[in-house]
Amino acid sequence: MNDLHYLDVEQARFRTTPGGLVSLSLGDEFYPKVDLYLAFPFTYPDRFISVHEPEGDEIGLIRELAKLDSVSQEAIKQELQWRYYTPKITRILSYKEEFGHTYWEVESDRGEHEFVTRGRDQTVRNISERRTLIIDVSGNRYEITDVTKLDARSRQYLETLL
Amino acid sequence: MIVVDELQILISDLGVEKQTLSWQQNKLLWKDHKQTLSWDASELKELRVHHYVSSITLNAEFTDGQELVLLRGSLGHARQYQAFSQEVNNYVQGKTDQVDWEEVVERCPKCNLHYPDVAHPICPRCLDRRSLFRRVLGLTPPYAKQIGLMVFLMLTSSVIALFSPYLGGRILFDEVLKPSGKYAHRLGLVILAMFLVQLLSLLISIFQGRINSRVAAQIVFDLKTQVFTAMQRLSLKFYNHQQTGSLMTRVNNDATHLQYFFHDGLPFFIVNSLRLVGITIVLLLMDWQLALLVLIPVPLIVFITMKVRPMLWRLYTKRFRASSRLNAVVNDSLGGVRVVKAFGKEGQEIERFTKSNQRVFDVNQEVGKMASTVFPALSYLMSIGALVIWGVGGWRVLKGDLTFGVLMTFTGYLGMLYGPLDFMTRIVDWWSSSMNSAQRIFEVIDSTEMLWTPEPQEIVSLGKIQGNIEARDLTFGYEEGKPVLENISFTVQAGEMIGIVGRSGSGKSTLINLVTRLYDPTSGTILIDGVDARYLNQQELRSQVGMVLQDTFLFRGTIYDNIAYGKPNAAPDEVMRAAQIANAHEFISKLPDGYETVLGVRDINLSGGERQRISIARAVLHDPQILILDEATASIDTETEQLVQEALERLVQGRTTFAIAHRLSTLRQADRLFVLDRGKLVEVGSHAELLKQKGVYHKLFTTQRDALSHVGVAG
Repeated sequence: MNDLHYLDVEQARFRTTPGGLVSLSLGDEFYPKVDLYLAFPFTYPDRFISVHEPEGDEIGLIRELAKLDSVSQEAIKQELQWRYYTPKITRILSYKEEFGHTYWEVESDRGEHEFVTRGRDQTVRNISERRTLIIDVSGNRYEITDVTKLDARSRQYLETLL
Repeated sequence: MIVVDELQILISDLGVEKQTLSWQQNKLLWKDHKQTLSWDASELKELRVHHYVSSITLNAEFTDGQELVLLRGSLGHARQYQAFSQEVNNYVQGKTDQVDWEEVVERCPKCNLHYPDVAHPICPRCLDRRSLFRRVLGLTPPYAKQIGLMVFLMLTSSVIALFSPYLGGRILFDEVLKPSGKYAHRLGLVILAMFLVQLLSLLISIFQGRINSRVAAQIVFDLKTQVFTAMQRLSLKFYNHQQTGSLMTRVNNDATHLQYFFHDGLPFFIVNSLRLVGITIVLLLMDWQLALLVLIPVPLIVFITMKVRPMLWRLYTKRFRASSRLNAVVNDSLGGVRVVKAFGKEGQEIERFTKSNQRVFDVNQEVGKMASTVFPALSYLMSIGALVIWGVGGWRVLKGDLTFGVLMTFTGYLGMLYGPLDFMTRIVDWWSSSMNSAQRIFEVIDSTEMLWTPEPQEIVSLGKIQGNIEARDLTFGYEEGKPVLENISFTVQAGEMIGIVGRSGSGKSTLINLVTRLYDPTSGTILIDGVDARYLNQQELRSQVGMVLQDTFLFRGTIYDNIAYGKPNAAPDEVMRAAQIANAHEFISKLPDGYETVLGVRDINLSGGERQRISIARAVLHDPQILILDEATASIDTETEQLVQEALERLVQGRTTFAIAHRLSTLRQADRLFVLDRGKLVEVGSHAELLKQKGVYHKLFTTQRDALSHVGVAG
């Protein structure tokens, strides 16, 4: 079968369109809107980015974001940040298990959040010993980058979960 | 022309600033704290919601081809965004004449708690537990007599239990062992009385326990039957939403929970409350000063238990999780033992097991340490209570203003008093978790995720269906906001065979689900013999739809039972004829137990092709007018495929057939092919016509042919 197809970093130009989308010009070809997916969203957030036509075929992979021109990098970073929107929890303000659900109030790099989780199995995904993803009832994601760096109180809340 | 230059990123709840999107008099309005933008309806093509990994966007597409991100939101807003977009689109496309949109409520209006599931706006905090409790009790009237008897027995046993310490203390020491007592020296009498009291109390509790077991089991039995009946009635949509497996465990767990409620919780509660009240009264009557001393440690014990329990509970949860993880590891590597051996990874598996096992060991130790500290400490605390009584009581006995018998009675009651306290501190937890279980069960029973049903007088009965099928403008999505099929229209003549092709995920199976009315379309209509399928008698419609699926499902039972599933009293020769048509008779009759071979038992290994032919025989006997073949030959080797294919060809004769197949060659019989691409019906025609069109089908066909010729199989 075909080998992986990496985009030519010399030719690929990603731009944020006035409408807030990402476009790609690749030599003679121009895509007014492309979809971006991370092949390894946790381990390599800035590598192996799969670029697709909207609801269509893969145009190619970006092996390393850093190899693109700086405007492209910025456009992609911003778009990925929205697509994989994941606030990083810095402090757990309150954690209440009640009525079979857990009600959280947390502080993150994006401000304060309030959310509800249900059942442990769908709620927590341990990416590594210290890094954890918390998924709420709607599927929104919150990340704890390093559990050991949280304050004691926050850690105590998490004790049963991790 | 629209000025979009300044709208680089529009955020709703994902960022700091707040933006709003609204519809006012023919105009779409977008606002933030700085500016307001508006577009006329005529400029708009449509609004679309896009789902990303953990966010959604609401985009506007304009008639001039521009696209603009209007809002970015968290996933919880999907319903809201979708509802809004749908309304605006309907208006823009002239389907409705006004935009009428209801805001999705996310929080309980009473207490402002975020609904756990916005799709089911039930607030667990404001949930009316008392009315739930009444409903749970509402399950009991058929057993009113038994329950009345039970309560009576509990009362009696509580009263009798109160006698025991009194006999063993006050009577024994003050009236029997003391020379001046009323029953002095009649030791035999009091021992006999104690013996009889204990025997009576034993008999009563056995009797009461037996009634209780029956009633509790019976109530839960009724409840489970109700749930299962409700589940059979629900449409597939419900299962899709709930995930069948977790639903089953949940219902089972919740039912068991409720069984505890009736079996242990409720009686325990009644008995213990009676005892606590009774003991307190007796103690106060005997000697109120000493009684108050007994009661002093009570708040302390309650306080400590309530403090310690969450800690213990956390540890138990940890242990539970660790051991279920260990189980998962064992399951995994034993289930995949072929892979493990083939890759020679036994060592790695052992390591994985050891790691999980180590964790269980650690947690077990932790639990053990904690438990062996806490419980002795608590009982020590209780024994201090006893020491106080001994001290103060003893001193008063020495002084002579208290009899030894009363002191003994007090210590006897002490144990009976502290014991139930532990349970009483848990009562709130226990109560609310029982009621939550009840709520979840009732939710299933009350669930309205049913297919739309017409009024009885509107139901149309067609008798024998001919099999003309028409679809008008079908749109459907399993989840709101993610349409799987869009605007599909077609007409199929009775007896025609239609092949449905398309890449995986293009909506083939979904289309079948709509045609057979396992789901109702979100919009649009299916007409069967010219009648809206929703108005057809369901039973009648089902009896004339047959299916042969890829993953043949055979029930536990004999081959005969399985073939006769749709016609339970079929005569033996009918079943054999069906099997013959399905090319199954030969292999079945050769089995040791013939048609009476029991399936689902381990030692019977039927091949995929054999199972498939049994399911074809089932469909033949069912004799449906509308036939669905969903990848019916996909999991079968080439040799048996011929047999199955032959059987199918016979089956298809004279029936309206929809067949899905990845391997396009298996659709050569089809009169016409429907080509689906990303939820849209893009091409319709015969194999030859479609090849000429050089469109999607042509591409599919040539790719597949090339792939097959590559591996040496003729397409």
